[in-house]
Amino acid sequence: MIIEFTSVKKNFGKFPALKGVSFSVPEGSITGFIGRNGAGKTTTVRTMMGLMNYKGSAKVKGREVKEGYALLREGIGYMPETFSLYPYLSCKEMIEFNGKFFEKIDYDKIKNYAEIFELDLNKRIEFLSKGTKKALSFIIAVSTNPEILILDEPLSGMDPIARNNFLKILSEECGKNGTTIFYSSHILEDVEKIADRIVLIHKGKVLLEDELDSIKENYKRITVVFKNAISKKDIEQINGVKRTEEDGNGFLIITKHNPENILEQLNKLSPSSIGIFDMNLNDVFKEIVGGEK
Amino acid sequence: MMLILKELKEHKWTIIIGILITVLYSFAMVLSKTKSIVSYVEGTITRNPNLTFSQLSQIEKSSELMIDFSKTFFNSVFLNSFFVVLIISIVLAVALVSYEEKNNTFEYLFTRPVSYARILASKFISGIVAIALIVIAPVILYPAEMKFIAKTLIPRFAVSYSVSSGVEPAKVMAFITKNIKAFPVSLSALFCSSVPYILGFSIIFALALLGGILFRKRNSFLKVSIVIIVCVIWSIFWAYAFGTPDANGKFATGFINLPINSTLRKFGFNTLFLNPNYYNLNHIPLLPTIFGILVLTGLFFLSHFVIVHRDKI
Repeated sequence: MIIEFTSVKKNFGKFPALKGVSFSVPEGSITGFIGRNGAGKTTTVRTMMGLMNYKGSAKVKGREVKEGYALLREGIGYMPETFSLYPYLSCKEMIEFNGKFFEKIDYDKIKNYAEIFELDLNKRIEFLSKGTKKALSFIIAVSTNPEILILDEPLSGMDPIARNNFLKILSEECGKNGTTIFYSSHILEDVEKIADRIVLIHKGKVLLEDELDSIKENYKRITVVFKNAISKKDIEQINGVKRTEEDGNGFLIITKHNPENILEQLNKLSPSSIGIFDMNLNDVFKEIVGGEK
Repeated sequence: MMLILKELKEHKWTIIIGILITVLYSFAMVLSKTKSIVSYVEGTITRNPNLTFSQLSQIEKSSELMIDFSKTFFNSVFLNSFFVVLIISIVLAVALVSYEEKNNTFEYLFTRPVSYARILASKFISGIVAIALIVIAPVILYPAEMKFIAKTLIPRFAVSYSVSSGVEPAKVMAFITKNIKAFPVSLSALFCSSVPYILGFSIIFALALLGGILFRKRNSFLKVSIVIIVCVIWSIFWAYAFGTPDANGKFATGFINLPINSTLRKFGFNTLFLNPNYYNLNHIPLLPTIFGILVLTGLFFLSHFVIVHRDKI
């Protein structure tokens, strides 16, 4: 595992921002780190980047973040949520300044991505729009061909075309270079397009960590209508059922694992009609987080 | 190096304004003093037309013709260049932190593959370089003071070139040409004599920088107020503890009997040694320099400790 968090805790005064966060990120994966506003996403990302002090164990490339992190950052591209580049520099000067921190800078890649995002490299940063600033921040993050790319809410402020370009580039980065991407966002449609793994954080706790395909296989919506009256309790007792809604003899069932088994059990109850439907990441998110009051 | 250049570029206007203020302040101070000295000397000579050469020399001595670097920076007048540079040092330190805070650029800097010590060191070094420029600029840029630079290695009571040449650039240039051989040597002497001043202001700067790091999340006004109060109080204590020049140009010992005073006296030293004005201007005063370097090093490690053990943003 290239990133490994074990019981990481972080308090801001008396407020517990992270309440023992544990998850891991395999090498070469695109991990979507999702959660509501204030769930602890940015705190987790900043902890990963060595910007926060914490309790527990946070390891990147097998080394504890607290110890000797300067060397580790050589292989990390980071795009923060809030824009943090020098406004008095031109884009070109900023890229050159950033390049002095790293051994290698891919100038062809910079030129190529600048064209894709229609970024004028001679323009001063203070005169760029919000979306273009984000694009520059992203170009700087990927220009060093990092092993790990850590992105915190990267798409906020970007127009739909820039967003599509961004997602396309991310997939290419992972596919061609084997870059591990840790992508924090609350825009789930975008995460779903590229992520192969999901970590869901809510109120400082990780509620879900799994492969996206596995989540989609386990989380299903089943609608079933019975000829005879069936107790809601009977359905809720079936292993793998997360939630049930009753409407006369009809039921809406949300599964959290093993939907085939649930379907088999329901068929034994002689339903008049039964259907199973896929859920998208947004629906799964609502089911998990919505249940947490 | 690139981080130091970045800091200097970022704060070039603070440095330029700092240099302008001290240069103009020193100009005004030295010019006003020169005028009064000229009238004093002229009046004395007019009243006593039969003075001998040695008597004239005595008049020059007693009339405080030594319009020198130390007087520009540390005299008995409360509001002198010392306090001007003190405030500039504080503003510079606070600006070094506030600018990054305002633009969220600490997040950028602290996530680059560079140690926190290097980031902090770049801020320390750029601050000290800026202070050195601000301290030396008024002496170098004041035309009549070129005479001081060139004449440092000869007796300091020599007839002030300020008196005879005023601030006429042509005369000053002629003087420099004539004394060109002495110029580089004297320039190095000037540097040596300014080391304790640079260190003194650097300590104030480092204290303010530490204050800025500690109170990073507070608003700028509060930060500036706190560090100014702390540094001004500290600097007054410094003057009182380590001695100030008296009306006769000699140095009075400090009024406060700090533990270090008695300890140093046991070894035959007086804390007066810690006042840079105690020394001749043509060598680096060892004790205040060592003292300054030690304090600066301590402040650097303290600031580093604060950065490492607190959230970076």
